[in-house]
Amino acid sequence: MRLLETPDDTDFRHSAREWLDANVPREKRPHDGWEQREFDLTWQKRQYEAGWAGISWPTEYDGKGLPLVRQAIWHEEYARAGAPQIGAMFIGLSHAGPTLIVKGSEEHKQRYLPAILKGEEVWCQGFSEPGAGSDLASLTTSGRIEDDHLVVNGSKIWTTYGPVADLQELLIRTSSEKPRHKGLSWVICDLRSEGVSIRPIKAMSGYTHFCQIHYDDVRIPIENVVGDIDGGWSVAMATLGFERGTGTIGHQMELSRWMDQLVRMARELPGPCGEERAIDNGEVAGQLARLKADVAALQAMTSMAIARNMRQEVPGAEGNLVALQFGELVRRVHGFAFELAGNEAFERDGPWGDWPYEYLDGFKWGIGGGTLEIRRNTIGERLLGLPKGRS
Amino acid sequence: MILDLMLSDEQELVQDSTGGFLADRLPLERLREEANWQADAEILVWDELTELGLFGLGVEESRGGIGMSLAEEVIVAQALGEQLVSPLVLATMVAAHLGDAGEYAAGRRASFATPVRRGKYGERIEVHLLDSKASEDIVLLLPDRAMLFDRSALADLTPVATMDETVGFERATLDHAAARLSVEGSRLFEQAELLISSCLAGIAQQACNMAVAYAGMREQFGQPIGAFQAVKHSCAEMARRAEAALCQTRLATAQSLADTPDSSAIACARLLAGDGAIENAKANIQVHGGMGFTFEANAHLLLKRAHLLVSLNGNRAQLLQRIIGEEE
Repeated sequence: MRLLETPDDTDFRHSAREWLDANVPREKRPHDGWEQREFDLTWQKRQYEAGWAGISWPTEYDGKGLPLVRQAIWHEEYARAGAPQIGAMFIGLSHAGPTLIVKGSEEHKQRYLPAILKGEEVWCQGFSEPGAGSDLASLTTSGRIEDDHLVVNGSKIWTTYGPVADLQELLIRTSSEKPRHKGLSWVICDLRSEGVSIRPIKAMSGYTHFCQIHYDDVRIPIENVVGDIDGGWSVAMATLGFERGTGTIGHQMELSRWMDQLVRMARELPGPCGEERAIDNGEVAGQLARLKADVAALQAMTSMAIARNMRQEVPGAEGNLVALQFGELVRRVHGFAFELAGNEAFERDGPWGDWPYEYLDGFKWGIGGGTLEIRRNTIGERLLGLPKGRS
Repeated sequence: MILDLMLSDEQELVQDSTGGFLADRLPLERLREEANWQADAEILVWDELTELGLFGLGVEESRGGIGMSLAEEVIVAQALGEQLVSPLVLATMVAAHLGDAGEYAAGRRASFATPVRRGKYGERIEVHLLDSKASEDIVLLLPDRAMLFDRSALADLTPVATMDETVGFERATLDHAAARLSVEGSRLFEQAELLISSCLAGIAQQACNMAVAYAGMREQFGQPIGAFQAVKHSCAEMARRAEAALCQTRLATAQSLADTPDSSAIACARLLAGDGAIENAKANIQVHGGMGFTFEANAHLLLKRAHLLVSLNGNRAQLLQRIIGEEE
């Protein structure tokens, strides 16, 4: 329990702030499609060229090799500056990249990590299947070994940024004889390969950034396997650990900006019962304060997760506590705008921002990367040591 | 500002030594016997508590203290909460910041006074005294003023029975003019808010531990009840609330230590810890089923103490206002 930031760190913070203030794109980020990909990659490229990409990644792969504290400072300043969400870069920067750093071969790291930081390639995830959602280990997309290739058949779904991705972290069954957790492999799939077909899916927000992908005899070089053949479960758990721990830190910080905006609105808008200011209404003030406390807790829990990560290479199950807090809170924060601003908040891109989009899109945080129910199971079993059951 | 919310090696030592001592000498189970209520058990081991250095722990050495910081006191407070140690101990820790730390380190005791009613206070306040029968001093903390009274200076002392029978309650009238010491400002009030938050975070954690232990052992329908999702998910939510309380309390503490105290963050800690303690205590009773409803099981103790500490020195509605910066 102490201040981690040294005077050098604070200098770093000031340089980051200065650069962000001058360089954050002010034009609106497109909601989906290739324009969105282009926007996200261009912004990533600009950060790379100025030396702000991969702050805590190893220098051998174009990272900056700085301590995690600097990365955390960058996230804080990034949010403060109102920089756009990392979007299409999310899987590469927060998921696949960190996984390759701890589990990938030297060749994998050389080939893929710099391209992520330079904003040259977009990654997506390929874990869930139509028949394997929460029960991930029941997945059936198969990889048959033929000489020095895996021949993949099957289908993946809910692939965020899949419609615009180049590469995929693909979890497939490479052995049908072994117990179900022990026959899986984590492979890098080039989505430009023959036999890959993509069907975009429109989300409840009205926009399309996820899809279903079909694999029809897709040939993947065997050297694309990360970790051991049939050893993919532990690699996948490492991947999810990154997502559940600090992977969504950018989104969490963004949530606190939305929260600040709610407080501003409550001071500027008239109250629901004729009060001069909405915040003068007891019910509004109380709900606002409870939301603010929960957003504060989310950030504090993330700080704890960062502190834990500094002491361990691969995040443990504790990240699920953060994800549980985040998943519920997103809906409550964005939904509160409707109570505060009335019908005006239903307007898309209205005077206070696009609250309907944020509200509707936010439901993904209670489902993706493990539903809230699965997270409660994981907390119960892995963190608290409660027995597995017939449920 | 980037803060490390994990404990340093020295802080872990404080946690282990205090936690170990309390688990051994003042375990929560002691409260099953009436002879240990109302700080009687604490008073028996008071010499050992002073030897541990609890009173004046975060006070500068030049002022007669041990010279550690608020962080170490917050760690101790969590352990006090976990074992439902009498508020007498916490009050004496706070008094050591207000009065002469050396005297408290030598065995002098202080108890909390907390206003009986809500609303605006005048110069004369009707208060409840908590576990004060063996105290020389009374501490009253208001948001803008901290005061120390001689217990002998109080008027209209009347014992009252309350919901938490393990804590001794008296009513009394306090007159500002009778204070032996009065310090203006919010610093001490806010430090105590963090200590009380930490105590409540300890209760939230203890409720979670108790529920998990019972759910892993009690069998129905041929399996431990903790294997059922309805129970398991309740425990997971308890873990989340305990973590939220702990993390926000530590964060607000670390901010205070870095000389950037944030009143809103402190109020958030108090709200999260209070809600976490009460909600977890309720959930723990539910997990225990019929046993949880009895006086014999320990579950009710956590709920009663959580309510008592939540209303110590303030109330929830005030906290909500402080969080959004709209207090008067």
